[in-house]
Amino acid sequence: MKTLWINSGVLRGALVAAVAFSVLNAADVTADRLERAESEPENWLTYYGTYKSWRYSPLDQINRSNVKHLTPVWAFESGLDDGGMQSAPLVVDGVMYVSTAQNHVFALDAVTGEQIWRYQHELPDEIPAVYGNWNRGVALAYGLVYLGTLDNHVVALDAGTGREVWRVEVENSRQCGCNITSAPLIVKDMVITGVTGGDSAHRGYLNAFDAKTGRHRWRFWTIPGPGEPGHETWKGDSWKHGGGSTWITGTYDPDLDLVFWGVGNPAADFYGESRKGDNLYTESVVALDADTGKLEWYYQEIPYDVWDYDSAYELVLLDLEVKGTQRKVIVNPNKSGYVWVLDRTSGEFLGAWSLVEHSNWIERIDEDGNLIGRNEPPVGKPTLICPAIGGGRSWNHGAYSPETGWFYSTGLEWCQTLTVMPEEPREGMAFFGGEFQMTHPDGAVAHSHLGAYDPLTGKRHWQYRHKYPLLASQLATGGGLLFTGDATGRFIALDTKTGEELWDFRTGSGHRGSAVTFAVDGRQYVVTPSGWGSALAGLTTQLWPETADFPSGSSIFVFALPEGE
Amino acid sequence: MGVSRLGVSLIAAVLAISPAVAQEQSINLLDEAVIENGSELFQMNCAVGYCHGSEGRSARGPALREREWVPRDVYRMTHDGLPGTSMPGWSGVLTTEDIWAVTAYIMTLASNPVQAVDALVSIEVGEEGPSELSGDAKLGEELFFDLTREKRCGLCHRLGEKGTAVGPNLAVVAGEKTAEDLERDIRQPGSARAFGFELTEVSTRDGEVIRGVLADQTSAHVKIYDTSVLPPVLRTVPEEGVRRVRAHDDRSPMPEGWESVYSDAEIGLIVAFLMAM
Repeated sequence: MKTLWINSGVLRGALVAAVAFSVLNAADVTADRLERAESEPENWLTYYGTYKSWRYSPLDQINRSNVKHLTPVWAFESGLDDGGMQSAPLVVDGVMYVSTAQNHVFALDAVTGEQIWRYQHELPDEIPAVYGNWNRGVALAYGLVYLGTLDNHVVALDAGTGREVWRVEVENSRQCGCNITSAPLIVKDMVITGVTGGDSAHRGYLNAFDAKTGRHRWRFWTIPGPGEPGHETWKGDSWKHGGGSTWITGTYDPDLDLVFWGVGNPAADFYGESRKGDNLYTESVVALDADTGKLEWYYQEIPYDVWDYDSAYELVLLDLEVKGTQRKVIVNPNKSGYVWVLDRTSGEFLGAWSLVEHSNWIERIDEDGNLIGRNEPPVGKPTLICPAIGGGRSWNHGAYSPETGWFYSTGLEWCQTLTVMPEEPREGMAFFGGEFQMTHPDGAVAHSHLGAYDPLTGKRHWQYRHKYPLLASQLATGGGLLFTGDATGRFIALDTKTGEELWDFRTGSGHRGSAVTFAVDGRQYVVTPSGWGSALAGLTTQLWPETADFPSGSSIFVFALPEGE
Repeated sequence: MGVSRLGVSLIAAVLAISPAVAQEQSINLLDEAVIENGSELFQMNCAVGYCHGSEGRSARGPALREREWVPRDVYRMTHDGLPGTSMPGWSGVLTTEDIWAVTAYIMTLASNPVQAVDALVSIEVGEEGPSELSGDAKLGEELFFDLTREKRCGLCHRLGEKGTAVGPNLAVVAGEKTAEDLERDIRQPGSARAFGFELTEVSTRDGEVIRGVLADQTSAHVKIYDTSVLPPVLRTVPEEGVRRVRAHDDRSPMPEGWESVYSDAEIGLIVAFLMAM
């Protein structure tokens, strides 16, 4: 190990930790270690990095002054490029675990890229097509790697060998029209998984399983059944097929012992007459008792959604001063382009602000959280709605840097002509209740941007504009860098303070996944998935026809500073 | 064993409840009513969300408009799907006539629209379609597979496209039992025995005892469905971790407690469904 590598204070700390725990490996990832993930920045232990969902690492060896020398170290190609590469790798003690489309999982030597094992989940010939065949990540604990599958199984693999240890079929995926594409979440001795199905005739839920045995622990229905509070917010039998999917990974606050999860849109997405009501707990953030799954509080961001927005995106846990008082908050970017700020002890509404300029689905949100000036598209009449179904932001996650105190997120400026059509539910089948055509905003050209925002007020400090939709997650580092990628295959590093582009590298295919950073033997690495694809990548072709020719891919690129630098 | 052995009899069961007689008809691909029907079906099933886009303009799936198509190819791809891709087959969901209507609509988007001389297509209808179940049996089927319930029969029994194949194929079992037998099996699962589905216990060297349905036993591992919990868990225990595998011919791995899941009336409907199988 070279002393050159430990000039950085953070890395020095990480190095001490790495030596002290050098016998640790994936088998030793416990709940305690996950709760203290911040104390081992050399690893990326959970989907978002830590339970705070910041997608931030204090590693600072690669920084503003030297990032221009950042160099590829190794690359890995899975060959599974249908659906693109949407994953977030995990790294623990020098081993990288990464999932791909078609439910393959790879364990790779994080320093050399050499494959240690590969797992291929055996899939039926046909899977529900609505949600595609991608996967967004795995979870790791107790010597096991956890994967949610396209045919709606939860699978636990031996982290050392890749061999299957247990498997549960949550529900027949053809019957429910749903599957699992998001990374599971480890909470204490449980693995918690959400499900897609918000655009199908399906009743959504969240499940917890015993991490070691797969035994079911609890289920939280996102739509209350007969006799349960909230059931009255659904008309007739609409609750049976009302969507409410949990399709993006939530998080956990160990101090409050609460699991937080965002719930997606009600179904039918656009035709609401048959489900007239608030449609709880769709479009809500829910806080659940970790041990029982019992609802502790909820906050519904969009009662009676008829635009197919989602509250399902990341829940960023921050401690902020609000009107002179220190509050534990959740920052939740919604697919509508608005960002909601809630008190995470109670669900109290603290504010909302918009990521996008072109927004006409409501006029504004008042100080009590009410949606003012709702623009509900009438049945049968093509109506311009902004943002489009792709969202004022995609699911790909923002980042928060404690150095700047800013939240970094993309914003998508695009619209759609939406035509609402009455539709009856057919179990497990697509249930949109309308169709749409992507359009440019009135008097403007569709585009996207990446910005730095005050997480409470939304005050913007800088903006980086892009021709195409920016559809990759952000990664912030202690080196003052913000990493992300674009549709053309450029992986880029921006200055967190100014938004200035400091470095880029062409990985050959567009970016749709989540970059992470880690360190081994005192050397910091940045890793990005590369591989254009996905539903939104498909939709971009309606506005930018040339993107139909953008190549797909399914690779991993790892970068570091040249040795000795 | 275990996982796939239900396949053959399953197909037989599905065929047994499907309309059996195919009839020859013709369909005119230029008929406005056919195209209109196809357009509606396309909007609901093909354009939707992230698939082929409004009027086939493309989204996640490929653009369909302004391309050269052969009607029979479009029909076949729609009917069968394209294995290995995200394109599902629509047989069993849409009828033959409906798939031809969708084909007629897609041909209106094509760069080579159908010519009048080629418009009349001979088709076979009625050789497939949804189950013919009706009345109590139909209601029983819904209860059996009811996804709005956390516990349901379908978590362990697969019939046709629905449910999970852990326990025996009840289309076969029901043929050997009376309605009284079936009701007793639901109310008293200990009595619900089926050949090849004896209660098996796998004792591990860690001191755990996993109880359920043996799925596979090789020199490398033992696979067993833990049916003491729902949904059942398929556990794989490496050979070196297995202390003992013990089958109990006189005991059933079916979990208890169905009288608290289904009412008396609902159990009656489920029995009616199984008898209809």
